[in-house]
Amino acid sequence: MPKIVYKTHEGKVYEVDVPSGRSVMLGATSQGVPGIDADCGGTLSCATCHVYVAQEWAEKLPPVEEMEDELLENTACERKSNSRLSCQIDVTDELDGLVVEIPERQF
Amino acid sequence: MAGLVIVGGSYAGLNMAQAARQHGYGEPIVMLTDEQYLPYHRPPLSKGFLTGDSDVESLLIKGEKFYEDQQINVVLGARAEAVEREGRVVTKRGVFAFDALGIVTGTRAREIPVPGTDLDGVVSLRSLADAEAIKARMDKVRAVAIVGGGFIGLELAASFAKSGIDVQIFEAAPRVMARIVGETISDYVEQRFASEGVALCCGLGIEEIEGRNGKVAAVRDTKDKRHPVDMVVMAVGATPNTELVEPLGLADQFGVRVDVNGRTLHPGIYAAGDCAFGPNIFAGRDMRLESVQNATDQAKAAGAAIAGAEFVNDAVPWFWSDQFDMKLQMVGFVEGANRQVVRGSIEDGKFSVFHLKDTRIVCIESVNAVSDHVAGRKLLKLPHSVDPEMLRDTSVKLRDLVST
Repeated sequence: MPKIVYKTHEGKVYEVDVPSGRSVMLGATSQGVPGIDADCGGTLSCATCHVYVAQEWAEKLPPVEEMEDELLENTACERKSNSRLSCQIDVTDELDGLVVEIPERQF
Repeated sequence: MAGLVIVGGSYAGLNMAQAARQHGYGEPIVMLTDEQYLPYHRPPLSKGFLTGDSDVESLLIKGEKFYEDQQINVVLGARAEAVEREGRVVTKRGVFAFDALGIVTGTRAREIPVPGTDLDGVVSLRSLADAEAIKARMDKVRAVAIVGGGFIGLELAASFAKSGIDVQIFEAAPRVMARIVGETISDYVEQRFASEGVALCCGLGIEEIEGRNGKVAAVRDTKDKRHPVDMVVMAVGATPNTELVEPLGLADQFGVRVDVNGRTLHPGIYAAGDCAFGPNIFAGRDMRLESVQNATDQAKAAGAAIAGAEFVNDAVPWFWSDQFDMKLQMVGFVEGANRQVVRGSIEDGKFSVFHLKDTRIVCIESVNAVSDHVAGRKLLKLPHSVDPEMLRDTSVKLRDLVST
């Protein structure tokens, strides 16, 4: 099962096995990783599952689509070139070892 | 110490518990829910869950690990039957003593006095169990009558239509979602449903549900026309679940009365979410709101208060609904507006209706215009002014148009 590495703003590291097909957001919320709120449950309504994807992984992800892009314009913490909404990243075997950083706050 | 007992296991319950812990509450926390699941996301129940895109596990707001880590003891299947003034909640699964009590009992589907609602095939949707029951029927159902053209009625209609089921919606008001959105959005949505082949009758209620052998056979509308169907969905709003604290004098027909911190009139008893009626800072008046956002933010304030901290809930109310390919998002309230401006293209299905009071935006209703919505959620909180005509120019970002 692919392993996703979550780094919190306080520097805590969570390594979570996330089944292929689940989102990076669900991997966090299901295993108690703090800092990914995901208020809307992954329906592209809230922008509270913002993460920074480690640079070496950023280009391995599918591109940002329009609605995600618009939501990322209004995240609570600064949008960077490696910003993504974790509900829009579906875990695959190729993403085994993916590292994401969780911003200080989501709202 | 007996700690905090929370009655209800949805967004408000979870956020109340989490906020109490975040603010340093160290006593035991027990969450009593009459359901068989940990708190789960409800909005997908009328959409992806029915059409097969999401399963139970992916609906859980937080996994089991979260409750273990936060030391929140969730007791499933524990319907609260009474609250005793001395600080105890009575359930079939035992009696739970509390120092602080959170009432987050939500709502239930409103019932209307129409003959035939007890027939097999008459359903409503509030819970995951309801959604599972509807899903189990969908394979066999050919024609559905939906009573009520609000969010839930319309979302279900779209899901049924997508699954090839004939759908007829009966909305007694002159337009759909009349309680929640302005006329422009209602018109647009009505046309969209018509183009998807959904029969939508506004200004038409139902008089009776007719049965055969105990099962739904037809509905008869208020103009006495008979429509053969094999399922009827009652989606005519919700009633707050206040019965538990009515004997304590904490509720009336509007809901459980609370202050800005979710405190009821009884010391140590708090309420939040769909069942609570209290001050909304943004609107400047008391109200009861049925939304994920309100449940979450109100419960955060109550959880903070339970821990002896302060969290000011001055959030701008926002709502969303997904119907066919329309992402509807609303922020603020239309009330008090004296002007409306459309930004974007109604023809292309990507636009927002801005409602203004003079030069201040009081409400934005968006269709597939996510950036207007999220920008609005920040903007409406602040004093601001805008040239209404400039709003039409989509080449300029909303935040650059407005002086705050």
